[in-house]
Amino acid sequence: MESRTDITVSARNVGLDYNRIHQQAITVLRNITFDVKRAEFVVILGPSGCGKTTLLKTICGLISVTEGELIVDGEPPDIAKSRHKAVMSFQDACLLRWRTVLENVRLPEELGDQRTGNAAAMLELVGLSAFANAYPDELSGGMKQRVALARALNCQPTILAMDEPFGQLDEPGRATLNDELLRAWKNTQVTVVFVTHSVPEAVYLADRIIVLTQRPSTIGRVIDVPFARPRNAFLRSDPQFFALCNTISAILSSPAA
Amino acid sequence: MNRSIRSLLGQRVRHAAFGLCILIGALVVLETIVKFFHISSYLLPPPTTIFYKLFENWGTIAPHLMVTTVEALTGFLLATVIAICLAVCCLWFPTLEKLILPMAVILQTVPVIVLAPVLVITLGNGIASKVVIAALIAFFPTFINAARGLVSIETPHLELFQTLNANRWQTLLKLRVPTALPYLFASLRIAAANCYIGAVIGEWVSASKGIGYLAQVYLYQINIDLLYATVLTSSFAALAFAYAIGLVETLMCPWSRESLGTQRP
Ligand SMILES: Nc1ncnc2c1ncn2[C@@H]1O[C@H](COP(=O)(O)OP(=O)(O)O)[C@@H](O)[C@H]1O
Ligand SMILES: [Mg+2]
Repeated sequence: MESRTDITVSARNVGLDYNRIHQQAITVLRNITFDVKRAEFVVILGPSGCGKTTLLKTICGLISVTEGELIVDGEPPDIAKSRHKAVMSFQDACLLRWRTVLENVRLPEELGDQRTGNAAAMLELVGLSAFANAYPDELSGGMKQRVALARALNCQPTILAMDEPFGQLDEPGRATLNDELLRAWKNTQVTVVFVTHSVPEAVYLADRIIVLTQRPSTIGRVIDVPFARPRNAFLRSDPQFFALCNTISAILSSPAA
Repeated sequence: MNRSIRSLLGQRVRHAAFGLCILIGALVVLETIVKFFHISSYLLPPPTTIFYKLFENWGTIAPHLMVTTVEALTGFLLATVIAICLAVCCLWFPTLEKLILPMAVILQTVPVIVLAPVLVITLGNGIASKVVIAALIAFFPTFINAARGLVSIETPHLELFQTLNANRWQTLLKLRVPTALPYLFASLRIAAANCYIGAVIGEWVSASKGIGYLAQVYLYQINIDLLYATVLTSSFAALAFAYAIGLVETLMCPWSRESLGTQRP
């Protein structure tokens, strides 16, 4: 019983088929089994089109698995979703252009049954208090993603599922946001499941990296990232960091992956 | 944002002033042509004569313009409310859309001039028949655009609202409606002109007051100057109404590209 509270996501032989209109159903996920511990930072890597986004959506209760069992914070994903326990953030920041930054961060407080939240504090956490009254059209790509992060955190989720959130940013912008994210993660004790296609980003952020295989995908490898926290820019030039990056890149590009 | 709304409004006013200048220029050209080629005033009265007649007879025309405006605006309001409600229904019950859309198209393809006498017979030659004709002709663009606007949200935004566990009303009011507003306003401006046309056609068929009625009287008197003057007043009223709608759009959705007017490709 005790171990149960330590686990926020538990997947047992999860499989998923997409039923398509006018086409055969395709199997995207097959036999996926993993656990994510509370407050852990897990990164998912895999070839494009293998089902990473799909996996995040099942965790967040946006689509239901067709096989196996998925438990999110002790509950089925759709129940967890209805309590704002699992929240997804997207590659596109998805801000509403008719709302100010603060109003965007406040959005979760107005939706569902949730009536709590602290938008101002979340904005402070991502360092954008000065832009509370700006409109999304006035922000840079990195700032938009920070607002999206603040909005997701304002749900006070147990699990934050992030789908290539910094994929459209340049390298320095991405590095800055990686540090911001790690700080927010540490402050809020949220569990993060993070999808990226950048190996260095994965190694920099993760406690553990799950590598998915080609579709129909299953778990290829699970890699523990041993580097101490808090991590900073020095890690990026550490030879061990490079070595791990190379190992993972090799796994990704091997035909078995 | 206040400042930027003000600048957007300023932009609208400048655009209108520019349009007015073009109009005046065109009238001057027209005047010159009419005078130069000695065109008979039965065919085309010179603009100055029309405006002179308009001022001279303003006392006669104004009450009729008022009647037409009441009919047109009531029809517009009716059409807008029904169109938006139907668009929302179509969004939530897609089968309904398959039912309504063909009917709306058929209604649109029947010429109003054919429909108008029928409506006057059934609803009498009072204000009701004109309101309905105005509404009929204003309905179609608003319905089509509202329905289109409500579904033209991007998938990620919809998924965002799903992940935040929004119910359908919240998704409607906080996502779909704001997204649809620019679409809606584009059609409301068309409808603003259309509803005046509808009201005038209704009056033309059978009425005892209104611009359509008065125009017919002047036509039978072969008073072409006044005919032009009368019809022009309703045109200007429709123009002013469409312009007012544009101002409301600027106030209600300053984020709309349309009203920003600067981000055209
Ligand atoms: N709604 C859907 N219906 C049918 N097939 C889908 C749908 N969404 C994704 N797919 C398919 O599932 C596979 C995995 O998609 P996705 O999870 O987006 O991959 P990834 O995020 O790893 O690039 C792709 O082949 C894609 O074509
Ligand atoms: Mg993806």
